[in-house]
Amino acid sequence: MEFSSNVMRTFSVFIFLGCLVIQCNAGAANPLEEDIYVDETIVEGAACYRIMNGTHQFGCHGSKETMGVVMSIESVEEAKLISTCWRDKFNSYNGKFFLLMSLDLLNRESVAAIRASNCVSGLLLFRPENASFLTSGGPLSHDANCPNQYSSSYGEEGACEAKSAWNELGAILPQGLRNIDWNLQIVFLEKTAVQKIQKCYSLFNGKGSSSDYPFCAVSFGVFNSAAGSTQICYRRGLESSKFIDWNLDTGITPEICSPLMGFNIFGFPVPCMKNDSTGHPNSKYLMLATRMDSFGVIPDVSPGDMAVMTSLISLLASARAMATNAELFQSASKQNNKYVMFSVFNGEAFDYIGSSATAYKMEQNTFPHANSTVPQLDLIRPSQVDLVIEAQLIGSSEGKELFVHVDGERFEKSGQITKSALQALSTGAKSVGAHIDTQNLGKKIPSASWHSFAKSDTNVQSIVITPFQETIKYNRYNSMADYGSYDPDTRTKIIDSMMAVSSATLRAGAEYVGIEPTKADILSIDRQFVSTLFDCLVASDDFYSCKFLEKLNGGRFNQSKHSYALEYKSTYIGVAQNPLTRMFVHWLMIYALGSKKETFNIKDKKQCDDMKLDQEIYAYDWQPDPLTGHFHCYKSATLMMGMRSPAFDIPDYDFKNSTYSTWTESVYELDKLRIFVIEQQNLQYWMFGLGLLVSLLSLLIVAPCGESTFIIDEGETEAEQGEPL
Amino acid sequence: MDISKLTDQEKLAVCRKFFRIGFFFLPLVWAVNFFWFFSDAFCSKTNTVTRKQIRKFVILSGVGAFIWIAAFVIWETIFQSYRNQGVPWADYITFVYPKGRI
Repeated sequence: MEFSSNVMRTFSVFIFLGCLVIQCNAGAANPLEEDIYVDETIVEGAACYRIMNGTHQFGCHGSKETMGVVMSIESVEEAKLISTCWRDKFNSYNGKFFLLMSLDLLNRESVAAIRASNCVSGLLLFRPENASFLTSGGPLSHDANCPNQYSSSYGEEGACEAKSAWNELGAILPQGLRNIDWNLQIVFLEKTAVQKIQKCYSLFNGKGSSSDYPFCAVSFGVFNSAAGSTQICYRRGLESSKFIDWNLDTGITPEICSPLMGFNIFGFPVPCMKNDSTGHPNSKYLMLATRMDSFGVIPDVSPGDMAVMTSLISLLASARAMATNAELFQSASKQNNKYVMFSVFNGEAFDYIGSSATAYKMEQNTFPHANSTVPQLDLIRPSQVDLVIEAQLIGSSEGKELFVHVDGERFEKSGQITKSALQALSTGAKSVGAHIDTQNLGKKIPSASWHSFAKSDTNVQSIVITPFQETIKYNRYNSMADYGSYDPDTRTKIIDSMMAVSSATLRAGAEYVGIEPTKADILSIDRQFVSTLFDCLVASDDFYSCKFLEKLNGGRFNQSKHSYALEYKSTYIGVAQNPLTRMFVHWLMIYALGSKKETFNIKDKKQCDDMKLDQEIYAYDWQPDPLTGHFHCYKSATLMMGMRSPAFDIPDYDFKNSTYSTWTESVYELDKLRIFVIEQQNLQYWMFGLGLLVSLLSLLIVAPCGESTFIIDEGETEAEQGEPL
Repeated sequence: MDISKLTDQEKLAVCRKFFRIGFFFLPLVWAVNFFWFFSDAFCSKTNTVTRKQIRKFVILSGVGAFIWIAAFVIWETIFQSYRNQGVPWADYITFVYPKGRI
């Protein structure tokens, strides 16, 4: 009975293949492969790949078993059934599965089940339809319990409290989803690809509680060049790495991993000039800092709405307010020799790449520029930085109270500047009807850029403004799910929070440089600017669909479909220096701090570029006004500096040392995501046997044939021998 | 070459030549010499001086080949185990790094 059923099935498949072949012959542009497989291109950055630190490898790497039957997961309960490998549902299938699931289902329960299972080939992740969750929902942070634990200035043990680590409430895994060497593939899919797989799934796999062959399956793989650790791959990439260095293709040692690299953006509302006639050898600085990077388990898929954007907007609004009142700040700064410096660091989520590189440059006396003869900005050393005020996760407070953290030890030792700044922060927040709690001071600094400067100089003070007191309440800190759809009420609350921090930092800046309180009272933040930036940087999925940014771009950069980070909002630092995010942040900083009053007569880019020559104080940038779209030459004391971890610049640096970040990214190749239908293995054997039989029969028929078999006209033989027909 | 058709003197000459060639870092030539002339060295009923000399070269070739093989196996075991750990010296003498693996 089984035999006859198999024969019938074989026969039907044979007819089906025959039809396919006929169809293929009918149209040359429709090859057989396209009929069997549906291929989806996975762009660079939309799949998990391998990253490494000094001692370990993390992320995903393809193996031979990158195929799996699709299983759609629609609830956490379904995810827990991974332990059964759904053997009841998928009769006689003993292979692995690709799980199709939305991002919000990648939580503690499902991750534990996936990691414990040996029947998962990969995860096909997509954005859930409803994403209006902020503080609701379970832990979805892809960072560790204790972010940047190994690069903290408190040391590995002191980075977090033993009982309550900073990100304990939000972390999916204590060590972080990023810091896992996954034995599976993780892909982030766009809507169209999800729909195709769901259609295939519903046709073949979703047939009730029990299904039989054929099944809908997919295959995908990421193939990395590097392995082990940064130490190993970086050494292997050096020209002197081999005794016999003989590359057959190019003669050049191929790069197998690259250090994570980014651009930091700096801005001075009032620049301190080194060659200024008054001379400012001991100028002091207040650094208003934030970060522009985050990550997810797929690093590039990191919208960073709360982890990055809201804090960034707060600082940009503050910078704009200072530039609007430039004269007030200028006279106070010059008089007191105290300056404000805006710093937007890149790579902070990867052991403070940006800030540690800045601190290192300061130590080397090469910040912001190496010594030269042209007029330039005053050199800044770590000891000149009095205080670092950093804003973190601001939007996630949703208009509620904000808290501050200071380093208890340094605060007690010499806290006058910090005390004054705290007072100013509180006053500034009050001026917009908000409240920053400056009484219940946290005694330790959470993961913040200050740690890099604290390692360089023992006197640098810090204030970190956060919406949390002991542990981060936002459960999607550094996550692929750090985004949302914001209703009007939530939008207003988030804007209120950003206004509070902008106003507070503005007041702190004014107080620091020595502006009298009565004059400082008139300083205000442009709420319209904050709202616009919220709509463009937070509520929007990319940098292209918002009019403000579209005008700011002015056609200088076109949306690319070849890379996730160039198409969508991505805050991952990467190795290509995250061109899109840092570019827009740079343009916004120029807009915020820049002036066109003195350059109104400059009419083209060349003239504007010429202004940059022979000086290293001001940047002159030819860019559009985001309100009108008209190009102007903006004069600003802004800098965009390419930075990578000093670990890669210090000769013979020991990569096992945690002083500096050692993160690298492997060079990798991506497969296409292939959707297809698989049949029972028995049937495949039958088909193979049938093929052999047909070949054998063909051989038997053809073997006895001689030349004469194919000569139909008897005259042909003579003709071949030269006789005329 | 069919050595069965050679005289003992000719066999000795070939065996000696093979033994000497083996010194040019060619242990397989010693191995071939060992197996090729093994029956002439040990299984022949005659026990002439020539045969004794062939036996000497066969034994020396065998010992040489064995030392080579043993040294090669020991080296390969050590090298591969350290190369799998990605230690610098093993990487330094590696010709092609495996892709995606240590």
